[in-house]
Order: sequence, then structure tokens, then C-alpha cells
Amino acid sequence: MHEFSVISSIVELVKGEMGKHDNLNFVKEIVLEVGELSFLSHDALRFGFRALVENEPDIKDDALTIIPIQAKVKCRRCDYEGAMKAGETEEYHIAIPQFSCPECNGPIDVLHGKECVVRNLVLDLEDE
Amino acid sequence: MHLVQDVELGTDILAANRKLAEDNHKHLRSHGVKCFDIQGAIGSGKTLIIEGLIDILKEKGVKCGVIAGDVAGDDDYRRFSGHGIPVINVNTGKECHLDAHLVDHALEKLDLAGLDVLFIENVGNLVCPADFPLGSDMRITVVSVTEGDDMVRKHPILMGTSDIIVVNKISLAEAMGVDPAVLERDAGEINPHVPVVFTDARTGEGLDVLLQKLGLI
Repeated sequence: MHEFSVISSIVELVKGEMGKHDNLNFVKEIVLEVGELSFLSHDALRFGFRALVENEPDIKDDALTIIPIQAKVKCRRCDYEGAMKAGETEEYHIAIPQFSCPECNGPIDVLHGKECVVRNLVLDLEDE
Repeated sequence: MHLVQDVELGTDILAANRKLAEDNHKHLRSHGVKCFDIQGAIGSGKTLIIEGLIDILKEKGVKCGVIAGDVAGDDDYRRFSGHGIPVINVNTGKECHLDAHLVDHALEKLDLAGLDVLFIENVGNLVCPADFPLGSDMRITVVSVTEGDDMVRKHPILMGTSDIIVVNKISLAEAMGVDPAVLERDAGEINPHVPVVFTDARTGEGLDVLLQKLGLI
């Protein structure tokens, strides 16, 4: 439900970057990394993006590339650092992350997986 | 001729909220205020639980305050105000969650020096608040038996990242045909380290256990 405000911030960030290039033709690609533990729906982000750039001729409407980022955790008990274990049962259609250590079942801290990072932009510029 | 240029940014869009949440946390700490963020579905009993906790704490001489978050209106604000404590009403308008910025502004209006404990009641929502930490010491998620015995497993990430899960309206379990043990089992499967507390805010049952888990008694 909050994807629109997030994607609005992203478009503002991109516009700010566009303003630094006088020879800009258009924004070809925006690479966005979205953590699997964030509550950002990729489809809703794409939908919001297309709606927002409809009247922005300098941003291609298919410019948004979303890269899912796997969660990474650290165990408070055994210092395990790595992926979460995922419980797949018949009850679930998707893999559900388990919030305990895959090695010792101890309590964990989430290191990665909640982020929403604009990693880079690919700009098409006029060669001056 | 066209030239393609790659611009590295690495900007985390959610980081601004996280930074503000950390600032809120430090601000509250500097005044010795313990802060608890209560999230849960609409009608799960968040307001009544907080009211019950306030009454118990007031009797013990603990000074409480509340930030009441809702999309619109002042219903919860008026209920909390009836307990004779400082309350700030925050209407999010169209947003589905409180964020650290809104809490920051609410904190400006509170006399933190006169508080021991601050409760923040989030907007009724079991999805969006998870992406927006507010700066509290603990995040408590409230579900109630009237929502069905599948509420916990339907929201695994929110439950897994909560510090405490409260199962409320426990006296209605039998009438609803809901086994509270199923909610507790599901919570244990997602996160075996998150405490599950059974409460009945109407009668006050279990609120003493919740206060223990919050470290307030």
C-alpha cells in the first residue's frame, strides 16, 4: 500500500540526478534493489512507476529494473552469518522465512533484506 | 552520437525513515522514556490493551503518554485522554502507517521530562508498518481470536520481526471456534524466540503478563 510514496521518492531522486546532465536524452534504466523482507510489492512498484513517468518523456516507462535481495541474518548465539532458512510446507505457496538460526535455532538479527536501494541509473546522453 | 553512462547511486529510499527512527529512539532514551509501538489489525483491541496497561501503570505511579495514530478522527485520542494522561493525536490522512517523521513531530508536542512510558498506537494494518520503524524499544503485534486462527501464519514476516505477539479477546475463543494454541504454534514455527501473550483486554486478563514481557513490572 505504500509503494506509491516509495516510488515517488525514487522518481524525485532520479529527476535530481537528471538535472545534473545537460546532455541527457533519456533515462534508460533505473536499477532498484528490493529486500525480500520489505513489504514492497514489485508489481505495485512497477505500476506506480509507469503511472508517475507517463508525463515524463525523459524517463522510459520500462526503465525500472527490480532486483530482489535475499535476506541475510546473523545468529546471536553461534555467530552464523548467511541466508535465512525457509520453511516450505503444504500450507504455504511461497517459501516463508524462519526467524531463527538455520544452524542452531538461536535468535537472529536481520543484516540485509529490508532495504530498497536505488543502485544505479543508466543514462542515454548526447555525446558532446 | 549517443553515449550511455552508468551513474552509481546506492541510495536507500527507506533509510531516511530508519535514520529518523534512530534519532527518535535516542531522543526518548535521553529523557529516560521507554517506548512501545503497538501494531495490529483494525479491531484487534490495540486501544483497549493500551488503556488497560495505562490504568495498571498509573496505579503504580508510572507516568504514561500515548501517540494515537489513525487514518482519521480522534476516537482513540478521546479514549486515552479520558485516563488523564498526555495524548497526541496523529491522523495520517491517506497513509496506511505511521512513520518516524510523524512520530518526531508528535514528540515535539509532548513533555518527555514528565513521562516514564510512551505507547504509540499504529494505524490498524498488518503489512505497511513493518517497513517503517518509529524509534520504539519494542514492537508489539496484536491479533485477536475473532480474526480467526490463521492470522499469525498469514503474516509471517510481520510476526517474525515482532518483539512480542499478543493474542487478544481470549474469552471469545470458544464462541468463535478458534483454538488459541494454533496461533501460538504458528508463531513458534515462524520465530521460536518471540513471546506470545494471551490477553483479554475487556477483563484485564493477561495484561500483567504483558507488562512483565515489556519489562515494566
